[in-house]
Amino acid sequence: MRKLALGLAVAALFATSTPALAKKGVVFIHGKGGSDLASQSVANAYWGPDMLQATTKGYAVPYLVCHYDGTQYMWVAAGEVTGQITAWMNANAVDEIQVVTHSFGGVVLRWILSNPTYDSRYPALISRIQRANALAPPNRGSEAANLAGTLSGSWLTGWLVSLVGQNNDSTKNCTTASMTYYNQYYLKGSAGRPALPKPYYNVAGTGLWNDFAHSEDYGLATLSGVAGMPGEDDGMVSQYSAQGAGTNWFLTAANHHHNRRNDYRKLGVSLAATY
Amino acid sequence: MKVNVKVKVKTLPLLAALLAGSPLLAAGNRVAVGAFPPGEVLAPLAVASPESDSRTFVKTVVPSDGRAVVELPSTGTGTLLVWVIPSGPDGLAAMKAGTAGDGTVLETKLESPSGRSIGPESDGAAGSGIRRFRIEDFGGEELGLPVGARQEALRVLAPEAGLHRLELSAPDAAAITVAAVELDSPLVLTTWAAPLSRQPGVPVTIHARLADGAAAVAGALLTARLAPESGVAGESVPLFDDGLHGDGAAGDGHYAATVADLPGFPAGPVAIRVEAEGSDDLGRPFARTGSSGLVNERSGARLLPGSVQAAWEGEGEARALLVTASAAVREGGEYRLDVLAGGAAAPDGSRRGLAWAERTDDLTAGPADLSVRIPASLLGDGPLQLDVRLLGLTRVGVAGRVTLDVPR
Repeated sequence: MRKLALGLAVAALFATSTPALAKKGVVFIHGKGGSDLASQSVANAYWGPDMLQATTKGYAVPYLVCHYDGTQYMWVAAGEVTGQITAWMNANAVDEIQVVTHSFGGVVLRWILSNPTYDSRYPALISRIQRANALAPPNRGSEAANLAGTLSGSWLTGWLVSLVGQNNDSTKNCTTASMTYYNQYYLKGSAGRPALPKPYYNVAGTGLWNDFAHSEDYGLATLSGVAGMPGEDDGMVSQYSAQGAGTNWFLTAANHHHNRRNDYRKLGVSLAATY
Repeated sequence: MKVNVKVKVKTLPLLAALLAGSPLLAAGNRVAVGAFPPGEVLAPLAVASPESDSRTFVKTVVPSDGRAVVELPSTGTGTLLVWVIPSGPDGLAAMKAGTAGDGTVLETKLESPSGRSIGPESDGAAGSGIRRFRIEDFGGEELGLPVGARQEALRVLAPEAGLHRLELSAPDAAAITVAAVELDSPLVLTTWAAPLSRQPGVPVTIHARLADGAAAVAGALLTARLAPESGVAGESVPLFDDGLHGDGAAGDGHYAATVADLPGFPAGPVAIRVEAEGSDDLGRPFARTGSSGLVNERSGARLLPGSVQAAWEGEGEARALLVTASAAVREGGEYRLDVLAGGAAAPDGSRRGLAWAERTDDLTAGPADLSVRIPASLLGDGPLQLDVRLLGLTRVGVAGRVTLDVPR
């Protein structure tokens, strides 16, 4: 029995040891949006300089802002993200990565963590991730994505279809029906599913009215009401959904626009405190 | 004190993996086996899409000479919030770019059944019964909503029952979508569809429940349309509450319709939109638009149901459960065999999570034999049920699922 206990201790030591001089880095993965998010400058603006500066402790650690076409399915986005992170971590010898995601970016990361055999580059990336901090991830889908489907041109006829526009793939990815499906079969970290291989902490937004002078907030509040989001939400993602995978970290009153920018109820300091 | 450390090498990786809460990887990371943490519960598989509630009515109109009128039914409960979304003449892209959106002049006038109104000349004061909120630079593209750069919301406090008349003027808009929600209304349309994972040839049933608080709403007119991935919706399908269409008892507020097949639908998500209209017990009109969805699976491979078997092998520490299955593969590529092992069933059908295993293989077209081993040490004692799935990776989709009770 003593041998077994000691064996367990040794095994635990092997399992949890990290390089003595691990070089840390921070990776930002944005949410869904337009195809222009494939541009580095647009992706940088998505987060804003305040968030990047605060989370990297004044740019004291290496960081990477991923940039991918925000209209794609999670596995397509994951391919672009993986390529960028792999090149960056190898070029900079970063071997301990903190990942900060916003919205759909948290689902993209879950795809990578959940499906290591999907892409031969995933295992090396996963092995260097120390922790993920997911801001407002739609882990169980978003009623706003459901509404987007209802508003799309698919229900119209003739020329109106293209006029009103159709859902893009990332929006279809994030409906509550789609995320129920993906959680059931492909994604880990939710109830009744295998655990994610790395710690994944979620932050759920519960505020709508952050800045009354800004019409963005009117938009989010309107969206929240029309989409019929249950319980608390940040205008785009409900609390229950954000907390649908991983470990619940904390709640924020910052809404879905503000919770990535560090310009209201600032989150950057909290993110920087985890490494 | 000197301690003699002697641990069998082959047990270390498994022990380390268990202690670290990470899966045991082997065969070049193509096989992974892990234990569920204590207390993890495997819920019964969701065979239907999640229920979706709606208090919202959506309608798109084409202006004539830049003008259109929409009548909005209201039960007069809660707050009425009306979102007006114009689309530009050159399509949404132009609106997003601001070429049409910034130039579009949107004017609205909303009049209640008794004649209370707000016109374009005023936005209404804070706290007034009807108020306008102008929404610009909303970030609709970021949110994935098919909306342009400029919209507005009209809020009606203490709305009256009846038809609200919304006059729209948008000379530069080619279409205007209106979404009106009765916030906090007890009259709710709930929609769902089954199966969530639809294999080729399997019928689809669309469900809707209309309730006004605890009371069922019978006698309403409900229709549904289904839209394939990147396609246009088909014809309307009527939903019934007659007890003959998979809708429970007649007149219980549960409506349903079954679509025998989805000809021409490609693999991928299928969107469903349900329209409901009628009157409540007090004769007040209502309209609701609901949504649901499912995944239309491709026929790239099929897990053969009768082929899934499990057999114990080995002794002592080497004892393991060998799970085998056969598949008919039509489209070659990467596929993953997933196995979830659960314990005894609780009254609600859930099971205690014991272990999981997955194995990825590159399968060629034709018959394929699949297998994965789960160490007996991860499977505990007592009843044991396996949930076995075959998942496409090269092309994402479920190729089959089987459950199997395993004798000890």
